[in-house]
Amino acid sequence: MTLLLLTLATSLLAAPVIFLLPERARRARTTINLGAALIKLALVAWMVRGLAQGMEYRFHLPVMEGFSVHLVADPLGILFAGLSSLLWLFTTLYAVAYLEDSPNRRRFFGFFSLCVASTLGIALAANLFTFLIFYELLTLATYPLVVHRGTPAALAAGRIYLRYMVSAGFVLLLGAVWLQALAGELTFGELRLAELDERHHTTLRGIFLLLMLGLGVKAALVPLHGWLAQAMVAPAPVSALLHAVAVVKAGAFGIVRLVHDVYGIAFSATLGLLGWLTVAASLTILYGSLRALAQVDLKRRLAFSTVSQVAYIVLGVSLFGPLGTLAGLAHLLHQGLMKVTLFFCAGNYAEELGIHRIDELDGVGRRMPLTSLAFTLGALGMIGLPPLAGFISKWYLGMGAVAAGSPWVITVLVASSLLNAAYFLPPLYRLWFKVAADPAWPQARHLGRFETHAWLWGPALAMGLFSLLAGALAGLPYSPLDWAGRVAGGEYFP
Amino acid sequence: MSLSMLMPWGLAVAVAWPLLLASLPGLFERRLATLAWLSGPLPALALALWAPAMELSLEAWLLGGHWLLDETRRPLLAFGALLWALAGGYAWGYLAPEDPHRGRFARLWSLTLAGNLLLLVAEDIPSFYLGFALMTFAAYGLVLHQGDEEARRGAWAYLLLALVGEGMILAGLLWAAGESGALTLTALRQGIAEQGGNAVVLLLWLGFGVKAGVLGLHLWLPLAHPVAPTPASAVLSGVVVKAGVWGWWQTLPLGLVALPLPGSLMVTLGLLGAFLAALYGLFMSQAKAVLAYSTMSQLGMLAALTGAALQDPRLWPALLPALLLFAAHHGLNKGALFLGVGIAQRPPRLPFWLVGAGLALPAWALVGALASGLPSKWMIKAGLHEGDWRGLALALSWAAVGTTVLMGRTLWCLYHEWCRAVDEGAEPASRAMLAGWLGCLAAAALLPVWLVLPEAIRLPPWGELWGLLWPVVLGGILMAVAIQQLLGRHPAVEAAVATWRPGDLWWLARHPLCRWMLDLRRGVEALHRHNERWHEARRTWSGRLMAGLDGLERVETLLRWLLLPLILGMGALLIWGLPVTLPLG
Repeated sequence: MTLLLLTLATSLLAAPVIFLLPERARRARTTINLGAALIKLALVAWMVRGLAQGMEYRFHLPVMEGFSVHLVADPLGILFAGLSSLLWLFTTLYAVAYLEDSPNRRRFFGFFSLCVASTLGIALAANLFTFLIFYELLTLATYPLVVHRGTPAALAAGRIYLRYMVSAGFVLLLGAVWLQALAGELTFGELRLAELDERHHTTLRGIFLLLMLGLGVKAALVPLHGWLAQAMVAPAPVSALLHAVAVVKAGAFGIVRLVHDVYGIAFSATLGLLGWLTVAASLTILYGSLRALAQVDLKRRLAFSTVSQVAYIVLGVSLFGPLGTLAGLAHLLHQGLMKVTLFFCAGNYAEELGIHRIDELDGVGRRMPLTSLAFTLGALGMIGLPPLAGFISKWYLGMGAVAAGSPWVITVLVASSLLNAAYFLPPLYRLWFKVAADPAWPQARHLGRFETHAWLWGPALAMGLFSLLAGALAGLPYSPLDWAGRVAGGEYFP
Repeated sequence: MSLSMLMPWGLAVAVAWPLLLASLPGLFERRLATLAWLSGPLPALALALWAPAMELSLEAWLLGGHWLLDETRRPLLAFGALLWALAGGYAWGYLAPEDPHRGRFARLWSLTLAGNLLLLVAEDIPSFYLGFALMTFAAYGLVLHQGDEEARRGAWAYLLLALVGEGMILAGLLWAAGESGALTLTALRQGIAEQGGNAVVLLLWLGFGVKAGVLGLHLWLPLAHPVAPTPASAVLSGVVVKAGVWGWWQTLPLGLVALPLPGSLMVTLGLLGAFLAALYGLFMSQAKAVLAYSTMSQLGMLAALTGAALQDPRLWPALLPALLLFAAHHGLNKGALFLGVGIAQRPPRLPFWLVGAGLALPAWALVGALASGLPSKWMIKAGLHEGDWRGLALALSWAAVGTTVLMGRTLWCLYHEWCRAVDEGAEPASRAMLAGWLGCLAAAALLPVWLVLPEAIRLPPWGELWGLLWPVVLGGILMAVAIQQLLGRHPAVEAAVATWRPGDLWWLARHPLCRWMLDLRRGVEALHRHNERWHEARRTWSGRLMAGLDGLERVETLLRWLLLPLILGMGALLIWGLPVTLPLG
């Protein structure tokens, strides 16, 4: 129990301390940031070990009749918590270098810690009430990060972001309250809804739709994805965090919780909800890829790629059967690793050379080989080529689709792979095979001894290698695939 | 740990070695690095020639790695690694020191090689797919190497079709593996055999058919081969395209179940490809283009034979060794011919008759009149006759007539290129090029001696020789007649034919394809605009809504005025009302 609270406290307490530190106390701030991130990673790793040995971590605090703050470290939650604490560490490293000499770093890192704290809360929440608290806290904590630069474009994007998120939060709240009125307090994994009388089934479908609408905004399911491309004005580490672990993933994770631990996969199938979810996910996958194809701005292309890739998770969840669930959960981790790599690289190109558009990438491979290598790893992984992580997800999605009796999903997967190739291979071609124009780059600088600051290329390359290893060594114990398999196995064969 | 337990790791070393070399700094610049680079395929070659059958299980690798060296893989690995090694030596001499992209070529060369070796030894599906994809995408850079317009076109055609192929392969593999839960290729074949899905078989056939030059998906072959550097063309034509055929043998349920529909389609398209490619190739004027069409024609024969085995599983046990020999025979001889193109373009200081004989030797072998040609032809023919497939045997003999004519055309083109090179005073071929070429000639000529097949290589009895050689004789006569009777007599026809370019259907399909791409792009842009407009509309409407809500301000001002009487009323009520309502005093 203390372990659980301690884990949550690392980033939650780091935030006020950072707020209190003066702006110029750069060294102290960085130390606290990295220290907290390291401690949290260690604590989560400790819990993973304990969980594998059959320990239970739970914290229960009744607030009033029918409402309680309830935290638990179950395999699914710890999967997400592990991802978020790993990526927090690397993103912090990256952000420290990225924001060097820019104003308002105190505000930035304070909210950054709050954002991670709420992500962790979402991961560990054991009932809808607790989940909702942290889910809304995440919205509030990320807004200042999105508008960090304070430019008119950033403020406009922030407005759109807030509008989407607040309305989604309202819809989600409505659904949660309705569900509570119908079935009482629901701890995740109890699955009491299936015992309700059959005349409630239509209502339950309606509530599912409400909750899906609320979660789908954060998960950027089409047509609720409008905020994502706008939020690209945020600094690169924020985009990386938003796309890989915090906001978009929180939505996807919420959908996993909703289907598996609130309704239960079997009951969702009985209600006939899964088929619709499969269709919605497939449409999102294709639409996102098509939109990505038309973008010339590198970060916007990556944003639409996220729309498409996060829907893979939803697709996996919607395929009834252990293989589909396994694929969705594995992709939850894999997509995080790959997308954070790509955003780090996009940030490096922007910082070092002032490159924002894809047609400015000509010949950058020679100037920034390490960053470009990481970008290549991420991009090939997104296409789903072995031995990168994306292939593992795609493989099990295909298996899950056949097992769930909808082999047509394979067509969607192949089409999406080809579209991914169509929008990721041209940048790679420009990076490695074209020669830089003269004058080469908009604003070339020399930030570090090698191609750029070591804290910029380091995390990018590390994440790229992680996404390579997550695929190539998927058979190792505690690999993302292995852990996803444990969760999915527990779901279907308790 | 004993040596026998370490032995299987040789497979991992053989695949990893070229990968490691690809990351060496200073390839083609520093002598030591280049020498190390040359050794890329040697571990694999040593394994194929001298190691016993072995099996390597890698639990941690992907979804569980399982790599094999068995009697089917051994001959392919042996000839493939040998050709890679010889062509690598040739490439060292071929690429000019001032070529700015030599380092990149060397790296991609090693990556392609690693992919090729991996797909040969892999038994688990993910490793196999990884090898195939690595080879496919790395070879793109080899085709692109020269970077001029034609190279870019060839590379683009290659990549486009390769992507289509990868998509079909992925779909086929996922579907088949999903149905049967298979993780190894053997289990996959058995799964397909049990469920007998024609759709899966068609997907796999066409997916691998992009590499194996199935008619209609072959367009990249004649576009990419002439533009790639000569050693790259040699390995493309010698081993890379064989990967497609190997893909068929590894994934289709050959010898397990009879699938008449895909089988007959494969035979038909294969034979059609063999004939049409030979016909069209005749009119090419570059040796490399003629050779590319000849490759397509030979692949058509392989496809027809594979299709026959798919139709009639009894054929497979007898055909497999013959097909392995045929693949190795074609690979090495075609490799020698391609490498010979570079020799003819840079004539060495050797007597013409000697080099000419060297250039002609693999051509003779390929038509089936010499060396490895005779036994491979005989074993195929014998296998077909045993299974009572005489019609196909006859058709293949007629296709061999086409091959003969094509080979004549190749030698003619080579002679012309030689003469042009002598006129222009081209620099003679370097020693490395000569060594690679001569090594390839020797390996091809001695193939029946050193190649280890699942069953012994059989030479045809004397009585059967005429049955094997008549296509060559007929081809020779046809050529002589054509040269005498037709050449120079129909200038209009010749002028028309001279405009035919390598790439046949590509030029026909290009305009509709371009228009289609344009339409697609326009559609995506329209979607984008539509989205913008939708954003615009939403912004306007939300603006109006906000303005409307802001309008409430005025109402609130009125309300403020209402407040005064309200408060006054309340006060009055308090003062007057309370004593009345409450029972005070």
